[in-house]
Amino acid sequence: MIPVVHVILFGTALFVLGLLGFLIRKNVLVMLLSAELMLTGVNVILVAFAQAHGTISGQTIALFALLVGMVQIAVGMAVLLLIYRRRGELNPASWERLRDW
Amino acid sequence: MDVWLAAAFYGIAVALTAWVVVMHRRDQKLVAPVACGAVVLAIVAGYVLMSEYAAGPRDFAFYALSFTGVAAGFLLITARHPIHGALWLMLTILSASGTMILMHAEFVATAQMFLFAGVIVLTYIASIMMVEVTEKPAPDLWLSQHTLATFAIMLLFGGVCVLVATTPEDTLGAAAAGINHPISTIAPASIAADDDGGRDPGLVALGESIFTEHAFAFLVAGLLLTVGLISGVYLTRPEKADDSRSPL
Repeated sequence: MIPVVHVILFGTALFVLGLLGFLIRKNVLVMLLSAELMLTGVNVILVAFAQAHGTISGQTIALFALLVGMVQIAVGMAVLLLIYRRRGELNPASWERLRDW
Repeated sequence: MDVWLAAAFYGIAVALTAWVVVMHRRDQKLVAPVACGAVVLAIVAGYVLMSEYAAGPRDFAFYALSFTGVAAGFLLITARHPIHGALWLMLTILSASGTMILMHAEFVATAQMFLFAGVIVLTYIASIMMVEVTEKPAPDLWLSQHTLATFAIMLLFGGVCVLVATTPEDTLGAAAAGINHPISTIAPASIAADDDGGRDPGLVALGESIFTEHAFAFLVAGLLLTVGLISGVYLTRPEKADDSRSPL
């Protein structure tokens, strides 16, 4: 019998670590990886609540979240490669010109 | 929820915060004490968890996988090289999938394992090779405001810990869901369904849920994947010299 609150704490810890990595890292590759970490934490919590409530919808939402995460990676990596090709750098601070657009 | 347990969790978080700050300062004298403190706190929290809650190998596996996942996540955000980060992410996702299997969500766990730990991480590694991170990684790993950001995030985590610790387990989401019984634990077979010829009832219910109740969302997800594929191909196409339609 796994207490639900422990699963929630586990998922929250993953989410918080991902948020921390997204905020403080300078390498945009690691920032994208941290976003995936956040998504994983949310998926764990979704599955835990679905099982605790005895319904299946949470698992369905987790599956859709997985799909959206895949699209995010596909488009994100494409944009990242494109910007890297132009700038030759992975530090998002060097992409400040994008702000003006 | 045991208050001491929440306190132990938060102690680990604070130790990790100190670790981030200390690692950035590169003060070698402080790294060892902070690491020892984090390890001691983790052992204390693990002992409390095991003695209070672990009733069998399934619970033991859950706590072991949780600690592995969180530790790998922390190593991901402190990894100096992106490839190491990708491998740590793979370990985190495998641990999370393991906990999902323990919660009897086998299909989601398998999909996450295949799609994320397999496809996504390998795509990542290939992309990292394409951007050629061959030079030494930048010594300045974090933003200059990283201390402020770390403390703000740990405040957020502490808030969640307090919220979870002070919520009576009987009411955790049960009132919002309109059900009367307490849902404090995940039972070994919480999806109640009759055994249908040896098939997994959870898997059958998941398929029915996707293709009947959430059929529209399924179609939209398929459309989203197609748009993602097309945009990925469009954005990374070979550049021409006089391409005025270039998005950047």
